[in-house]
Amino acid sequence: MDSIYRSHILEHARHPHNFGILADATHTARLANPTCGDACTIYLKIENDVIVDAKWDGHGCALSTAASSLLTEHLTQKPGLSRASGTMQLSPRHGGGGGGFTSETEFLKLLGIEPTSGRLDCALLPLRAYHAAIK
Amino acid sequence: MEMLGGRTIEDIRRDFPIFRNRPNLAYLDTAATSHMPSVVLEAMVDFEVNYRANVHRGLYPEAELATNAYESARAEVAAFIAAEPAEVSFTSGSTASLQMLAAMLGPRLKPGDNILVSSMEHHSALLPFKQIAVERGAMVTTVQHDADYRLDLTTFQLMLNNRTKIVVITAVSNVLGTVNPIADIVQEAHKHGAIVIVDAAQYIPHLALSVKEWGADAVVSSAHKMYGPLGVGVLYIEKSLGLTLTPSNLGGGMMLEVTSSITTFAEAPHKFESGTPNIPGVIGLAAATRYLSSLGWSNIIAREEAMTRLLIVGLLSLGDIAIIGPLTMDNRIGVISFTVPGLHPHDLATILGEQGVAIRVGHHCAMPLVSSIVPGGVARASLGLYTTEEDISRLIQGIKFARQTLS
Repeated sequence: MDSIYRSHILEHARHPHNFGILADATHTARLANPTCGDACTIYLKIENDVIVDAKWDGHGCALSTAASSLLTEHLTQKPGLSRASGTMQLSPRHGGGGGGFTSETEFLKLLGIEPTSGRLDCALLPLRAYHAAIK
Repeated sequence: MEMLGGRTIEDIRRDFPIFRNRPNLAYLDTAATSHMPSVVLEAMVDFEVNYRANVHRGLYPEAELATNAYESARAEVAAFIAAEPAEVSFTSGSTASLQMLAAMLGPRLKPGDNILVSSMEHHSALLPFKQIAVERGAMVTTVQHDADYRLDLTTFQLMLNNRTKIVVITAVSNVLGTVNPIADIVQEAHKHGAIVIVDAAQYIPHLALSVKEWGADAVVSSAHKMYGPLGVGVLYIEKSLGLTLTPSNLGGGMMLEVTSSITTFAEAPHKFESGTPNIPGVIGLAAATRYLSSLGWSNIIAREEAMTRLLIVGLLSLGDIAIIGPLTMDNRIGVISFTVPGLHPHDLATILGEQGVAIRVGHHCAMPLVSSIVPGGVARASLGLYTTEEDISRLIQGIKFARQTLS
């Protein structure tokens, strides 16, 4: 079994990127996993349907922390990413038209790990907060 | 070398096939489910391959064998908890037993009546009784644990009154490892005429259980936590209470006569067993009680107490670990919850799991209790007959490794 605690996950967990409040956010959402106490708030600044900045804050395990860091890094390092494009498509159950489970799969590819079923909620918490924010 | 009924811990380990098949497994999650010794598996397979038949129905030899084995199992399980066979029904588990009790007792509640519970209750005990309280306009009142994670009997006495109709109390907390003073609680509750329901799921694998000594009205437990199979529960209902209860689960095998206008229920325990029971599971449970008895309670208790002490000392040796439960060995068993500063319980459990150390983290189906102590949940190591010094050492080393990994 490959460890999910790979060096890049540990690095993002120790030193998360884009941590903090985005004062001029246009879209924001907070999600929590009551079963483990983790919480993630995603802040997005969207202009003309394009994400121009992203931050997050909250608390949680190393996996949800690294996932939040990697998600916001992805959003901010791809200037001009449409909120409905690429790997971050809205899944149908979150009100969007595309992606579905594929988008979660794509997100796990971005993380570069394969969490066990018991840890999926940790890894996907920021993605679900992102979905809620752009809903 | 520790001995259990004349047998070494190595002998005990060999009784459990899981440790042959998973030699790297340090299993510290017995409070979630225990493993089964070969004698339990063999008893169930014997039924399946030699005399599988439904019980109380067929008139052919195999059916007779099945019925005899099932009723013999009932007698053995009853003796194991110092009950009479007619007071022991089999269900699918503690959860089902508690729901049946709530459904059968709910109609007795009137608006303003009170159900008294402890802060240590598992969701399976808490939720059905919360539900019937809502339906009947009754209240649920909680006796809180004290700073040492124990129930204070004086507080309990103060909260009892003549509106207290039902007391639901766990004999052992599945989070704290605390053993509650059930006999005293029953005595106090009965002064007010309350019915006392005891959740013994975490008690029965570790301590000798006598429902008569407790004096409880109903006691539930699950086979899979006491080295038996999944999907079998023991529901003890004291004889005089059983006479007054109308079954909530209706179906085959639990009535004497059914006409277009009349249904006459069978007597206890059969009226509480609707449909085909888990026959191999019950036979396996009886084998588990024989296995436990063969080792001897004083031996089991001494061995588990030594391992519990070792685990607590090991955790405390790490310096800043907080143990969520009593620190003294009196009235506590080897269910040990803890938090590691700076380490999320889910990260700890995953890293330990990657090293073959199995623990559980989270709220342990006792969210009101755990979230009042640590919002994000706690880690829990729980011991069994087969726990070794090496298992505990690997846990302690694993915690150190997890801290290094994530620091």
